[in-house]
Amino acid sequence: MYDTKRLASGVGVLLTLWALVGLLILSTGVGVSIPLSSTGGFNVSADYLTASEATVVPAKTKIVTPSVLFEVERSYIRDLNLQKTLNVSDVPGLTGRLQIQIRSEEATAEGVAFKTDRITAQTATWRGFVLDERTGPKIFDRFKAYAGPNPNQAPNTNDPLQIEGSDPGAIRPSDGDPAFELRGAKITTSTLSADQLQLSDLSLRVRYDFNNDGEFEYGA
Amino acid sequence: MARDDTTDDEGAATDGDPSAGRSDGLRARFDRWVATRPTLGATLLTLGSAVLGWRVLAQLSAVPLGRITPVGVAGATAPFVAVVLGLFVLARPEKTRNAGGVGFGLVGFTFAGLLLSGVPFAHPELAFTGFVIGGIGAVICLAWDHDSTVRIERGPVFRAGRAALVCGLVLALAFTAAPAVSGDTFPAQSDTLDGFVVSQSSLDSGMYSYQTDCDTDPGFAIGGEDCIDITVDSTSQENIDRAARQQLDSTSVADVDINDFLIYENLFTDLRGGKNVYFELTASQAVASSETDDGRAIDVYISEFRSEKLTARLDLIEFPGTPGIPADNIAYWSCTPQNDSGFGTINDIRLGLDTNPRLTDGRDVSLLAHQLGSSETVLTDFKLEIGAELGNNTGVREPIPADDGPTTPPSNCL
Repeated sequence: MYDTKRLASGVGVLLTLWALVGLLILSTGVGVSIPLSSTGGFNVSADYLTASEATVVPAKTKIVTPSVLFEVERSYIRDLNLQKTLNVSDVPGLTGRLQIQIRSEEATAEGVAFKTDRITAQTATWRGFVLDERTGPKIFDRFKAYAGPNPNQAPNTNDPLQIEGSDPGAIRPSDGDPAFELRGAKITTSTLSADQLQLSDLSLRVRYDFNNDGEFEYGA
Repeated sequence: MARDDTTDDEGAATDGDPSAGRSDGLRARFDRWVATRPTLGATLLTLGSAVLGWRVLAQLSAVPLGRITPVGVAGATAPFVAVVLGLFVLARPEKTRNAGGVGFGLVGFTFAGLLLSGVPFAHPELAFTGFVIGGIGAVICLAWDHDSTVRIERGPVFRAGRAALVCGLVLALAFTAAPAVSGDTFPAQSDTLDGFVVSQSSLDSGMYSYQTDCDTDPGFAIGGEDCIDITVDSTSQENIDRAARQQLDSTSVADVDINDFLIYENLFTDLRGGKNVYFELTASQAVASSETDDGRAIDVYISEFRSEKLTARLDLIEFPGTPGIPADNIAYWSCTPQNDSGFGTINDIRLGLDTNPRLTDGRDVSLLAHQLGSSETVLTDFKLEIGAELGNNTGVREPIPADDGPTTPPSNCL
């Protein structure tokens, strides 16, 4: 009939296996955890940010993490704050974190492109916004979002959407309505480039938190 | 080996007590057959492996075929080999130990594969139940000693314990399998059905209308508002013919007002070894308005639609804030609406009334969309995120479960 020793050891192995799986699920919630969000990059925040027209497509960063590529034709930004925090503990003789901040009260930019994995805003306003899913060999061809004019001039289907983007919007709020508008925006970016950038009331400051307590003891 | 034992000295039934005195009947022969092999272990191994095989197939159905690696194929085959092994044990009980050992490995391998595959799987508790049942079955098979002459008495405690084990496992399987069998989730994304999911916990709109790709020749349409000839493409196929177009308009009475707005799409990719990349856009509130003559605020091509509640109201006085007269209530159903004319409004779907009522009290409205256009839209607490994750905790959006049981969908659903 049954070999009781074998039964007991089998049950033991089974219980150990279940306990291991349970621990694994309870501790991480997933089988394996690999960091997939970009750890580098810098944070951009702005009280108010506009775009005359913008396209959004999936992309990847240099360290192969997923991101979206934002391409903005012309932009106006108020209270821009560009911030990068560096962990300097690895540098011999240093501890804590170093923060570099670039601030500008008003900025206008043309031909802006940035990669981000997260944008948040208190409010976002779109005028003529389209999300378009397409067949494509790569994931980066399969999803497209745009505000303003249709970037490819291609119909979304053989029966075009009645709402298919819009004319290019204004940049400054006094000139009319922009195609895309963010208030209280926070953007985590890995790369940022612009053909032309004008910053007014620019300030640069460096702060240092030597004991890593979240308070920057040195610097302006 | 043959088992000739019938009863022990005290007359209690034993494992070698197949016939209990009726040696020639069909039942007696069956009992004898059962007693000479680890029936319980083999049954549990087969059942557990079959459950795991079902979950593996359900998981792989969400992935385009070309993206399944040889390792994935091996993992998908493993539970079915274990099912065969369970049946093999019944046919060749002398090979039980080896088969039980291999079955144990295969069950463990399948469950580990499900956890580590990087592809989301729905109902993980069901896969775990399959793993538990298959594991117990495999251990019972492993412990089976075909040549042993030791007899274990089948006293009341043994019988009660075995019955409790079987009942417990069957109940656990029934409870965990019920949600997976009911299919009560949205959407049914698969390799032939992609799209991005638009979820709205509440929805009000000035007006709602739809158009479908129906059989009527658009050339004969009166007023140009009937059937439309559409093909929409999606992430893995160029032509989805089961599509409809939904339009939400803003009127002088009401804008399109959505609470807990969510758009997400799962993009399977080879990025970092085949993870699921997700694109997600959320807002606590979305208000869409339009200043054009037709008031068109949202225009969306869909292939699936589900709503747990929608109320159509007719406005006698067009003044903001007036409640209107309820014209129709739609409880939960899931379909792509269609009727013969190919064009309709919210109450036209079921009642055939060709009016243009307001849509109010929409609750848990979900669309599987392929193209979406919106006019001026203000999103509060806006968040746009793209990321990738291995597990199904944050990286992959689960299908949206329905709170209520579905009512019968209207007959004009596709």
